Amino acid sequence: MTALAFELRLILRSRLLAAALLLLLLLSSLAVWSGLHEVARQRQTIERLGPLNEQDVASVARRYPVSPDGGQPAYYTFYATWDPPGDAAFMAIGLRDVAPHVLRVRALGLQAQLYEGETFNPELALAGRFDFAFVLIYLAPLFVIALLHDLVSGERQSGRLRMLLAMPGGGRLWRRRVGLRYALVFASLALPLIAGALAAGLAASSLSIALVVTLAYLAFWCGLSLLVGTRGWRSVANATALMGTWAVLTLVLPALANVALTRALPVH
Amino acid sequence: MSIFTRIAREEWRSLLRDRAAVFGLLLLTVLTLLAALNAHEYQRNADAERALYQARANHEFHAQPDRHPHRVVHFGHFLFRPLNPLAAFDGGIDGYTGHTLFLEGHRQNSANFGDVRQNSLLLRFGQMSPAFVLQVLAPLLLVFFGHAGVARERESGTLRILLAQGVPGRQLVLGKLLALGSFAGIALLPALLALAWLAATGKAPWPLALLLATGYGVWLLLWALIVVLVSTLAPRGRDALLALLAVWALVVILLPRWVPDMASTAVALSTRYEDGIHVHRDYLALGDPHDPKDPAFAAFRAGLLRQYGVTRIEDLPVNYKGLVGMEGERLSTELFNSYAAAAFDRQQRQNAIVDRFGWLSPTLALRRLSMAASGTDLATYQDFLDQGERYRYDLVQGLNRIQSEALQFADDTNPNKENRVSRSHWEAFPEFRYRPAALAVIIDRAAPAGLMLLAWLAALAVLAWRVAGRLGRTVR
Repeated sequence: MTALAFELRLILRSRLLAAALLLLLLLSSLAVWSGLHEVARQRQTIERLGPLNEQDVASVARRYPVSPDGGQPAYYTFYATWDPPGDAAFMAIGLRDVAPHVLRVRALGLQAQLYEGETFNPELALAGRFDFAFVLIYLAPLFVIALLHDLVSGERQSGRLRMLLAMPGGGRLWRRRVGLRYALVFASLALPLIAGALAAGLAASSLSIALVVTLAYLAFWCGLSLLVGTRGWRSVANATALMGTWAVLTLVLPALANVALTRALPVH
Repeated sequence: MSIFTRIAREEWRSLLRDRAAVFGLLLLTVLTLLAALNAHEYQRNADAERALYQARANHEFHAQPDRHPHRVVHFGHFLFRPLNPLAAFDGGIDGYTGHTLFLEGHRQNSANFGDVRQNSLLLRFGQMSPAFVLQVLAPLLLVFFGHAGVARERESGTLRILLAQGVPGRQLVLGKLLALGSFAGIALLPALLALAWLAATGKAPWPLALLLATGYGVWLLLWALIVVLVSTLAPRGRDALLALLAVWALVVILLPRWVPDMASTAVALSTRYEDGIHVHRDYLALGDPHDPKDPAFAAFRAGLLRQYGVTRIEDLPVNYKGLVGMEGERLSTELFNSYAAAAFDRQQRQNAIVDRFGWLSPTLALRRLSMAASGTDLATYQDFLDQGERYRYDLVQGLNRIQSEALQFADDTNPNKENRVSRSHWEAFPEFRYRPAALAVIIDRAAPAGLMLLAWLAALAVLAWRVAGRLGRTVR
């Protein structure tokens, strides 16, 4: 325990590492807040439109007071449909910003209404939303890389590596160092997420799935960082290799996959 | 050979010796070419398809039989948004906007069938285009292989020797910049070739291709400056790399996402749902143009009777039903346009907020310049919608005019008469031709962003100049 506390003190004393963890905590809090805000906005919109639609239905009924078979009101009345955001929607807004979440449909000209869209600003949608999924997928690996890329090489470059390797129970030391960094990154992501889940009234099962996904994704990046870090390269080479992998996995491959997908299944 | 070219040559030699740098450059080149070819093919196919459907829609409209003009108003027409050839360079918002517009009387429809609704979620991860490669990946390449430039000399102690031997700090930094700048130039080359090809084959105007080339040239030069500057300031190469990666993540990845999110919170858009209800309520208040006795048009009727000096609408030399249809269409179009203008205005206010952040993240400025020049920004899309709306208005009013001139009021109000007019009338309607914005307008749209990039460049150049000048004093 004291060794762990000592390691923690080492991390917190390095201004770079402490600042990085604080920044990640801030970013993920901001993302969770932003997601909650967006979900609340969509709920408010759905609520606000309810009475408006009732007025509209009443005005159609007034317009056709005598319709012996009820045909005209049935034809011209718009019916409200809505798709309320789920409790977990705040984590990943996904397509909810470009697909309509409120839609009026009526019996007249039904076919064309299938393709109705929602008003959204395409230039704002272009970059994607700033939500927890974005922080996890794109930003969290950067922090893992920053924390772990020089774990081994940093010790070598400062001349301590041989001494550390010569110490008994060396495996425990590295496990402790990596485990603590992994746990700190996870905590910076998970704490805001748990707070957001409490605020949103999210079921414990959904939250635990999200936490397990977060753990697994971080484990992948920690593992990769260790894999590269133990190759014995210099810190700079480690960082370059890891960032290159990150760019390929998060930026290049999804874009190439989209190209392949649209070529394989073109939409006419 | 002057000192700085010699330093640049040495830096180049070290870059070429680094197999990763050569491989990275090669990968970027292949990626750019692949992206350009794929985007061009997509653009060509989409354009051909849309032209085909446009021709079919034109044919169906013209091939209508003899019928009552107002039935033609309700038959409607389809317009397809043509794709700018430069969309092969920067797809911009094309995947997010509809490309099919249905035109009919008494209504303004939205353009439907955007890719974002009919593709997989992968679209949201970014689209592969030369613009994406240059905006996002090329700066990363410069960071990877340029961060060590000055820092390496400092770490190995050669910086002190160089300065002691009388190499001016500015010459040293200029040499490193020259090397990294030419490295960036090679990364830019495939994109330049693609642009030159688009311009040379007459698909895109030369000034726009040049504007794009200059914009991206300035962008990469900007990054070369940032990299060399940080490399000069940082005590160790490792610190330079970490600082540069942080700057890159902030400027290229984080801000372009976070700023639009903020803009959409700052200016809320109204939903089509409520706009639909409000528009329809106001529309009904205008009166029913199908009903010649509607009291809402009493003033219009009185004015018309006074103008022709008659007392009854039956005595008018023209068909009153067509005229009241024209008046109704004029009023309803005014109404629709006011709602559409308000919606567009809100979106423009959002975009203006994002544009202002170009002072903080040059990525946003570059994106604005790139999309404006490629004709894939919101303004160009709005151009299409405006032209489509004008075409719709002229079409409907032309048909109303035919109704008022070719049909008699007595016949038109007789439910037992068919009142068909010859199909030659619709055959005479001109086809829709989308006119791209004038060059001056496009350059006007891109100019503020271009100025922002130049201001960034100037500020960084001044900073680098001062830092380099102090290099001799700071190294002990």
